[in-house]
Amino acid sequence: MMNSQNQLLGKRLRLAGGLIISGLVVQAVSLFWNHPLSFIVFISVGTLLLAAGIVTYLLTIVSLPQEDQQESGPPIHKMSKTP
Amino acid sequence: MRELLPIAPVLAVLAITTVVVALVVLRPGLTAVRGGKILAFFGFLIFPVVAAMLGFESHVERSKETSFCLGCHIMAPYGKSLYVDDPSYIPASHFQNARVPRDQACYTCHTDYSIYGGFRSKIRGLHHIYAQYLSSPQQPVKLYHPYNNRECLHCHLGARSFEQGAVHNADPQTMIDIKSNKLSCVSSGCHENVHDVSNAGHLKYWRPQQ
Repeated sequence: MMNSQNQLLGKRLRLAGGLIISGLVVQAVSLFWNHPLSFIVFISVGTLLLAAGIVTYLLTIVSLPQEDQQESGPPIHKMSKTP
Repeated sequence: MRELLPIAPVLAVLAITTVVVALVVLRPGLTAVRGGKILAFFGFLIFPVVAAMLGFESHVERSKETSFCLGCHIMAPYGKSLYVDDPSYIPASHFQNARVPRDQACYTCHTDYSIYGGFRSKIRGLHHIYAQYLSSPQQPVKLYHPYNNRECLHCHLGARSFEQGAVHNADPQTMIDIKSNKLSCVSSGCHENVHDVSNAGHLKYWRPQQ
């Protein structure tokens, strides 16, 4: 169960990372291209890829909360010793 | 190398972001510990946003450059008009005598010196790109509005040559009308020689010494 979730996490992180790196590469290339269209490429391709990567990453971290709770053990208030 | 300097910080952030993202992607197990989670958060969210903001700022700054404006073929005659060898031509005399920064000559005179004027200039720039590549640009190129004296007065207001100019003070009402934009500097016939691209073939041009 945990292994499959780790695989899913890794897969989604790879997807998010791939989108972010692609977006960054497009943005870097657009900075070297001194042409009015470079701004359009920066916004419409680079920023869009970057945003897609960020959204994928955020969805990944919010969709795996239950596993984290199980891994971290019981809630803190249960661990505290009563005098 | 000098051209790289303005974008060097942007490239540095882009490189750091790429390294961090690649590290987390290649070793997703890093995110199992708290430090790895924080690293991933910075690599996947904070750094890319910072990189995009710096890149955007860099593009906005570059859009002020004369070479950027002249990047479209339709603007080439206007760029050429900056080299007219005649001091009565206002853009040429400003450009050749460095009264405006040569690398931002178009922007310096054609932005609005008002609140959000720079922003409006950028929106107009996007419209120009649309007209150039997706529509058909208007021929000849025309200003959206009559040239506002505010753009001239941004520099000339308070200057001795302007404030004490004989023609400007010939009649007390003249100066008031100039400052309130009732009497145009350009279309009133006083400083009417601007780009004049229709006569470009008949003019003499200045060749700057290298």
